[in-house]
Amino acid sequence: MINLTTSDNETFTVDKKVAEKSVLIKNMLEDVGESDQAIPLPNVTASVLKKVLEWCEHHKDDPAPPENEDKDDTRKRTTDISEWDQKFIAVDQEMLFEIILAANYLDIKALLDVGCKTVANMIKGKTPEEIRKLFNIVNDFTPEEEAQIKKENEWAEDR
Amino acid sequence: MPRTRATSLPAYMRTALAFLPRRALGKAPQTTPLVEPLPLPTPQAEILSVEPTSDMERIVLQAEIDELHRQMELLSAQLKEKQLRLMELAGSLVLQSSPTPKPAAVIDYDTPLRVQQFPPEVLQRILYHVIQSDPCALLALSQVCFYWRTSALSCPSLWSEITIPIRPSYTDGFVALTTLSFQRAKASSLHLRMTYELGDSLGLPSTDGPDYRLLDLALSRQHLWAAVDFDLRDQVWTAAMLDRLADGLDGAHCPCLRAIEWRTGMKTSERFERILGRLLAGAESLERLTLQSHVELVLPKPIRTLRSLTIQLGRRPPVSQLIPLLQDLPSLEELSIPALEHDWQVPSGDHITAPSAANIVCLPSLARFTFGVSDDSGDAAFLRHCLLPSLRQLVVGPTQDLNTPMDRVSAIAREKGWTFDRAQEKGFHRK
Repeated sequence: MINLTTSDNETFTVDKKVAEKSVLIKNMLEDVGESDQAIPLPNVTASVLKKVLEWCEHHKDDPAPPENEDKDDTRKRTTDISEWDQKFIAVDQEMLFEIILAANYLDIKALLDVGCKTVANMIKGKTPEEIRKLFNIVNDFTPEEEAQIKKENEWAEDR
Repeated sequence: MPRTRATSLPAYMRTALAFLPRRALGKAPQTTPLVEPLPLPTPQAEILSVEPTSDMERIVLQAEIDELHRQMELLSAQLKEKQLRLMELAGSLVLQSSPTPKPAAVIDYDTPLRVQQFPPEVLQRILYHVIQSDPCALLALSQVCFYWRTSALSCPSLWSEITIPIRPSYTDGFVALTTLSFQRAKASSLHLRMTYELGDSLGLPSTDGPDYRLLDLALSRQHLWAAVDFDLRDQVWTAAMLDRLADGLDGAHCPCLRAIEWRTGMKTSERFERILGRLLAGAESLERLTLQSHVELVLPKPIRTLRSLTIQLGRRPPVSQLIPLLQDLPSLEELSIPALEHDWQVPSGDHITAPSAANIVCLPSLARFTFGVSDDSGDAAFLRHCLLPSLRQLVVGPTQDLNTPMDRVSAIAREKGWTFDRAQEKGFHRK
């Protein structure tokens, strides 16, 4: 069993196989070896780590992804998300973003993809203005950039 | 147990201990030394006169060894602790030294997390997933805000899927936009689609002749092509474009080409044979080839890198062409072929005699074979010529007529130790 300590000082004891879904933790364990000491995860809160570990537990027996993703194969990947993952990731936007950041920090590529695909599905078919509204993004382009964008849009209409 | 000074040890032991590093003995040099200063080289006579080690001396040595073990364990535990602390500090240092005013990796728990706080690589991953289902969305994604635009433009591979419709002419705006995509893709590997377009909206050819601008642009980047998807037709107005494509192509200039999808309809055309032949001629890294057209199954030279071949011709592929083709693809791992045209000379009763050596197809790595059965006897004879030591499963094509007799094919599969399955639209059903 492995102990993990979150940024808010909560400690989780998890099965090594579950913890090793994270490449970061796997590498730490390989470097440090077996230890009773908790592994500190300063970028993850307890509530997020709980969700992440729930995902890792469910997917603990999944085959490991290839080390070097074939670029042409990755092109074939779809934005499909499995039914279980869809239910798992049906959280508020704040938690979704935190799961994505945690998956990125912990280096759990499959979970990162689930999160990114979910955000991608939210974005699909939207105009830049709609995306700004969805994520509360400020349009901060300079007049020069606006002019370039306007030109690109004119080209796009001129098909 | 009181520690005994090592002077009571025999000379050979004192010499051995003297060579041990003092730190390893667990004592600082200034503390009471465990050993006397290194003695002068022992005369031969003294070595010969060494007395047997007493029990007490053995106990002393064992105690020293135990002490060393204990100290090593202590040091190891301290090292682990320091390594953990080092990792923690290194993580904090990275976060604090990030150049952005609010580093994306730092989560500010007091304010709601925003998509703008994602690191560029995460945002690029999201953009990548969006364009998987809608390649045209990339332009809109690059127009959301400065951060999104910078993230999109700084990832050339996002721009590397480029479609060039084959039309009589293009608007200047379309040429400008496609040129922009090529520029933004920089030197990343390109996935190029060339698609024949039908419809009245294509416009008429310019009086100056076909518009070669985009075709020439694509050809000028052929050294970056990693995957090409050609869906072409040979018609009066496309003839000049196809000739230009064939003339501009030189397989030797496509060193990165790994996948070809070839769809050129059911019409035979010398132009298509030329284009495909030139693509294959220098495709030294080709791994995947899909042929969905009426083309001759002739390779300009063996392709030793090809791992996957799918053939869906508009006609049955003749065995006389298929056998030499497969003989030139020794690394195949996946093969899918439709029902065959048995135009070869199979000796009568070949299915029970040894196959002729010239027609033997040896594919040592083939693990997946989808095959259309149409002529039980001829197909069984063909399979008998196939040496496929890695194959475990022979899959009958999904369009197969269920009433087609397959007794001999089944017998060959059993004889060769292959399971015999029927392909479904999705997955496979064990017969």
